[in-house]
Amino acid sequence: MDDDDELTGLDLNLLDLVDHVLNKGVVLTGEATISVAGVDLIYLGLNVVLASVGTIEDTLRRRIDDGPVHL
Amino acid sequence: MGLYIYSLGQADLLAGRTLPPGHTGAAIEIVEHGTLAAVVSEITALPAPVHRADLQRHDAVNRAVLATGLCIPMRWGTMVADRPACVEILGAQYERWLRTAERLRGRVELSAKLIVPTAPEPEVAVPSPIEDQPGTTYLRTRQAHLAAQIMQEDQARELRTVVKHALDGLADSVVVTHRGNLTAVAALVPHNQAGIAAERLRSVLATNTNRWIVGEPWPPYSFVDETA
Repeated sequence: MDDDDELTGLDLNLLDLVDHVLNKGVVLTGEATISVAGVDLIYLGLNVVLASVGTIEDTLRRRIDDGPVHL
Repeated sequence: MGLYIYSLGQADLLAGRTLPPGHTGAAIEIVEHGTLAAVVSEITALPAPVHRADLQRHDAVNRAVLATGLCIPMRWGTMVADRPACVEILGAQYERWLRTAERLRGRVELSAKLIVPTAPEPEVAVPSPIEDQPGTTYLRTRQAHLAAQIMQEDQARELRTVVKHALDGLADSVVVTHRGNLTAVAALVPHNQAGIAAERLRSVLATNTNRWIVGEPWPPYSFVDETA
C-alpha cells in the first residue's frame, strides 16, 4: 500500500483490534502466571535473575561479531 | 495444558450465561473467587502465528462478558497453569480487583483514531561545514526528535482537554496516546450513554481538519492498570 492510499474500514478495524487486544488490558504478573503473550515468564524470570550485566554484554558482543542480531 | 484468561467479570452476573467459544473452540468456563470470576478456557498452547480470527475470538468473549455489566479485560496471551493458580491470582489482589470492578462496572470504552499517512519528518538545521561532524549531526537530529516529541505531547494534552470538555458529565476518564503516526482517543463512559457520548465525540472531532474514526464501544481495555 502506498503512503497516500486511504486506509479501508477493514484495515482500521484490524488496527483497532490489534491496538486493544495486543497492546492493552491487564498484564498479570506473579508466580501463578505462566505466560503472557506467548512469553514464558518463568523462563524469562530465571534468565533475568541469573544473567549478570557482564554476561549479557559478552553475549551481545559475540552475536554482533557473528552477524546481525535477530530480536 | 493451561488456562487462558480472557477477562474478569462479576460472578453472579456470569452465572448461567452462555458465552461464545474460546480458542480452538474450547468451552468457556468460569473460575469464581468471592464476588468476582475469571473467564477462562482450556488451552494447550497459544495460537502461533496469531491471526485476526484469534484476536477476534479473544475480543468476542470479552464483549459477551461486557454485556453482563462488568468486564476487566486481560491482555492477549495471559495463561495460568490450572484452576488453583487462577484462584490464587484472583485472591492475591482481591481488594484491588474490587476497586477496579467498581470503577468499570456498567462502563465501556469509546475509541477514536486518527492516522496520519506519513509522519512529518522533524526539521534538522543544515549544519555549517565546520559543524558537519558525526557527533554534531547526531545531536542535532536528536534535538529535532525531542522537539517533535514535546510538540506531540502538547497536542495530546490539548486534545485531551477538548475531549474532556465535550464529554463533560459523561466520561469518567479520557486518554490520548500517540504511537507512530496513529493518534488514539479513549474515553470511559456509561454503557447506557455510549451513543450520546459517541455523537459528542464525533461532533468535537469533526471540527478538526483530520478525519477521525469513532468506532463501536469496546470493553475497557485502555482503562485497566497495566500490570496486576
